[in-house]
Amino acid sequence: MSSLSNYLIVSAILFMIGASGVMFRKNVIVIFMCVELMLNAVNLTLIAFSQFMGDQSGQILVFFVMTVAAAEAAVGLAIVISVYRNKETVEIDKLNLLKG
Amino acid sequence: MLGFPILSILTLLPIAGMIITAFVPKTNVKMIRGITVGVTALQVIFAIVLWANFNGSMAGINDPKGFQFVEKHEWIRISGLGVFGNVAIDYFMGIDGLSVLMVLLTALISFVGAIASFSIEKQHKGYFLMYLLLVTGMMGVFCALDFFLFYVFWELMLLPMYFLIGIWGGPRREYAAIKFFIYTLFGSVFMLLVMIGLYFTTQVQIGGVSWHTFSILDMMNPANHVTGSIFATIGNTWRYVGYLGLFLGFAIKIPMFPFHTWLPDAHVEAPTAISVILAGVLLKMGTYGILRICYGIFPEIAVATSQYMVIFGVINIVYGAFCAMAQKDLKKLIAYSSISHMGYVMLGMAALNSQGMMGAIFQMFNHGTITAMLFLSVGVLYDRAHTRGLNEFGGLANKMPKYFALVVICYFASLGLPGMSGFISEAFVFLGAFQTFQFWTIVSTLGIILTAAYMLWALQRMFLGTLPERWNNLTDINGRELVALVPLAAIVIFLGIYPAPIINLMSTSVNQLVTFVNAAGPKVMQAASIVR
Amino acid sequence: MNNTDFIAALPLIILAGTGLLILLWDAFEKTPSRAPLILTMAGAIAAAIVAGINMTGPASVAFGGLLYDNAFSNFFTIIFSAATILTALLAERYLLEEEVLVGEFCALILFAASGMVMMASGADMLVIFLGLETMSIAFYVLAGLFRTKTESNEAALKYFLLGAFATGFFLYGIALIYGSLGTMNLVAMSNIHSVTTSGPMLLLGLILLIVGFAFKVAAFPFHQWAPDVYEGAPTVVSGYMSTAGKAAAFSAIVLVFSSMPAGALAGGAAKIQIVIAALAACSMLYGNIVALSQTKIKRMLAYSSTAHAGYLLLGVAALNATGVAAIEIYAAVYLLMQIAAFGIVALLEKETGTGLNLDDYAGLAKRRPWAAFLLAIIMLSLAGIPPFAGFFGKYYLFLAAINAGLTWLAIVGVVSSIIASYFYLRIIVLMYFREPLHADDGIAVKENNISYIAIGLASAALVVLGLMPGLLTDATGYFFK
Repeated sequence: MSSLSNYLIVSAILFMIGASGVMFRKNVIVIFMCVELMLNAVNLTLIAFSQFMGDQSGQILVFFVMTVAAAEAAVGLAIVISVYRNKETVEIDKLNLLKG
Repeated sequence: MLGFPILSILTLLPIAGMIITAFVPKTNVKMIRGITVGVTALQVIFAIVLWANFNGSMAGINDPKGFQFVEKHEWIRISGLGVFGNVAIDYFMGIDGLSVLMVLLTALISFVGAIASFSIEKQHKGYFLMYLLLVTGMMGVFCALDFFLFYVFWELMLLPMYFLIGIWGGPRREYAAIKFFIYTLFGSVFMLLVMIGLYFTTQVQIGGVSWHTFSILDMMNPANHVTGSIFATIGNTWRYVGYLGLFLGFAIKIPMFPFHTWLPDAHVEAPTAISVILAGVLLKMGTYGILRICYGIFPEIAVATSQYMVIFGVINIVYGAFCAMAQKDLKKLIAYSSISHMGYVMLGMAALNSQGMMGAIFQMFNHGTITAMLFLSVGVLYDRAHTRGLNEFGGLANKMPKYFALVVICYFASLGLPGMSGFISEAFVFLGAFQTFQFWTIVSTLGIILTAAYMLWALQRMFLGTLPERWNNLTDINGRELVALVPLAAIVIFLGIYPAPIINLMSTSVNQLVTFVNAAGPKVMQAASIVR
Repeated sequence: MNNTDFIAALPLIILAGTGLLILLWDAFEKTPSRAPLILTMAGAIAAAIVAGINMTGPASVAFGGLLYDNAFSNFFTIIFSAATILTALLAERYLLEEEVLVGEFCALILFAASGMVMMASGADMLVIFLGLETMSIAFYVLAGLFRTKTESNEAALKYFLLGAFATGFFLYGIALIYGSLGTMNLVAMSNIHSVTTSGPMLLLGLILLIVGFAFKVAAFPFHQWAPDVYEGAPTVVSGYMSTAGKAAAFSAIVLVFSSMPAGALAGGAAKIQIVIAALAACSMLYGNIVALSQTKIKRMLAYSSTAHAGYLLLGVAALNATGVAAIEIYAAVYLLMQIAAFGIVALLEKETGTGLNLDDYAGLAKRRPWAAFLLAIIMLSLAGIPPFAGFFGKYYLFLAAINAGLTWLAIVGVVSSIIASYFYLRIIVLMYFREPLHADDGIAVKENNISYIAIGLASAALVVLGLMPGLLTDATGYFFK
């Protein structure tokens, strides 16, 4: 069984991949997938802590995060669809109506 | 002592006027004007009652028992905030020899301003509502003894002034209004910070519980200072910062060079009545604040920095006079002459002796009455000719003889002719300042020569020589304008001949202030030497 | 669930329950009517009353340490309910005119409110997280309420993406704090006496948490979404998001930070304070300076809301009881000011989306004296001029900062509020000193008394609270008792 820090490092790397994806990708769907990646990286951290500390609350939170992420996905994809209906694109660069 | 709260009545009467005005239909201009004039006239009556009942032998300044007509009610009480401490903010009003003159002046100038407001041509209801609010703010500033209350009134007066210049002003009113507002706000926010610092510094016991308080009188007493707090203990460098923060706020209002640039703009754009209020009362708030708050709370810093203040005073006098000389717009000329005259007040205050200080306060009163007259006289001409260009007039003396006579009185009073009130106060200022700062006093006398020069030159250009064709149909001053001008002229001449009534009102308080400030002075020197 | 638990959670239950009821009602009733709005207000009023009663009672922790029932949580519950009521009143004209589904709108603002209440009363980071998400998801939908409008869609999408992104940081922060302290429960956390785990991880966790919150409150440099979203979202919703949403986030920050075990951060506390103070200073200056150059009123309000987030952060940076009290007071005052400001904007905007430029406000005093008068009060209060409540709010925040030894921060705050006064006053200048630009009325013609009542109530409250701030301060300050 590997040590706690291994889990933490993996999840940190996953989190950073997700975060940089959000910042650099242009397609809304891909950005959204990167956000999901970030959330799952956090889930990994939580489970690792929970396991090594022998405390259940971390795992409980993971269930909640999964549920919330599902709800978020439902709302998010609905928004993406309605954007697509109006603009026929999901590239973030092309959504530039709102400017100062 | 009177059986009724006269200071609250003086301060809140205009609010009552506002409420009544609010129910008058806006087409009924006569009624709206009448209410304002009535309210301010009532204020004058109450001010006279106040004057008659004022006891000149009570000192005040730092002694809570020396204040008269005191009203103290709990306003904001917050307790149980842990580190926050207990906060006590009171509705604390009272006057002493320093403020009584200012209260009288405010009542008088407000009344005169109300009469001068008849020439307003649009949105009468809004104008008079704002005017009354302004009067409340001014009166409150001079009566408040709680710093928080003082600050609220100080800012309260800012708003109506802003609208009065911005809506009813001249062509560049927007610029002037916002400049006035930003300058004053800039000063007052630093005042706010220092006020917070003072709040943490001052703590008193009420009923066995420690309360942080905003009472200016408590702040003056070093015994109330919390050990180790920001403005505690004499010799603490932070006290310089505090003094300067407050001073900045007040200096902008005076206005002291180099913060004076808002004043000419505001005066030129403001309607006549508002110029009268601005020059007659508002500028005095700056010097009053320095005397009451800066000198009272940081006396040792006042002593230590008086040598710099005198320099700024002299710059104001000479610079203001030179600028006035260069003006072609009559109103701008008077605005700069105001800057110059407020320099005398600063000179007298910096002297830190009885003569100088008394001269300064008397000069505040005299400048209020004289400059109000000057602006009224400009208004009289402007209402008829719709121009204020000095060079466009000439030979008006024959065309408007009554007007000419009044103008001569106020111009001569302004340049300090013996027999007029301005002479006495300036003489006091010079007497006092000469004892402390000989060199600067000699430099400042240059201001007298310059003042005489620009005033007489202006008089000559406007009233002597030949009358240009287009002014042939100018009419002489009318009855309403006389009502505003004549009482002021009478006061100016009366006080020039017999200043005792005014001097007696304030001498005890002034002596007390001088003693109080000078007693604290050496302490800072001692503390400084210990540090070394 | 025993009786006390039930009473503690009652405001929450009422808010969420009313939302569900409205959804149910909406399924059967198809013609748009005012009924859902009335129901919403009734629910919010009931929640506020229950919270008010709870506030006077003893403080407790319900559900085995999940939900606080104390003066702090109930204070925020009351102001969230107030925000909901105001929003419902303001939305009346807006919704019926723009033909949006009223039922959905009402249900969503109630769900958002229940999320906020969870954030303000969460005694466990799990509850705070759930509250945050409940609120955020409702807001995503609300921002995109006008499904056929591209601006609204775009606002919703931006808000959603950045909000979800921020959630990631927030959650990672929770995970690291959990890892270093061994518990997610705030009550348990504050009872820890000796901290065994290393400080850096806790510090990192707190900083990630701050990043997540900074996104939610649109503090600099995480504010970029705010102007776009507030501009594109329905105006009433912008008002609700930028006030109640922010207040909720701040209440959660306060809860988490005040539960940190003593000594857990050791030297780290000073670092956190510097981070927050820097965020506060930058937000105040940046928000106000950029707001100066805006030509659209909603964007101006958005940037100014960044500055106001900075003022509130000033209270967080103080990290003391004064700061908490100041945040409570300012959150309440800011909520009134900003909702009313957006309310007036909503009242004056046209269906076509015009009437939103600053120039459209020129000469408003002549055309709409009441709207201009109320907006003037609100602007002066936002600028922090006494005697309006905004001044007292700022005053307490500066007091807190100076008390915590952050005098420089208070000076930055003061300087930035001078800058701010310029653009707030510019609106007054436009309304009162200028002639109308267009010969035809550039602003919607319809009068709406209900909106005026709501804005008038808020403005009156600003004046009353300004003259008698004791009403507000009495309600705060029990937190640390």
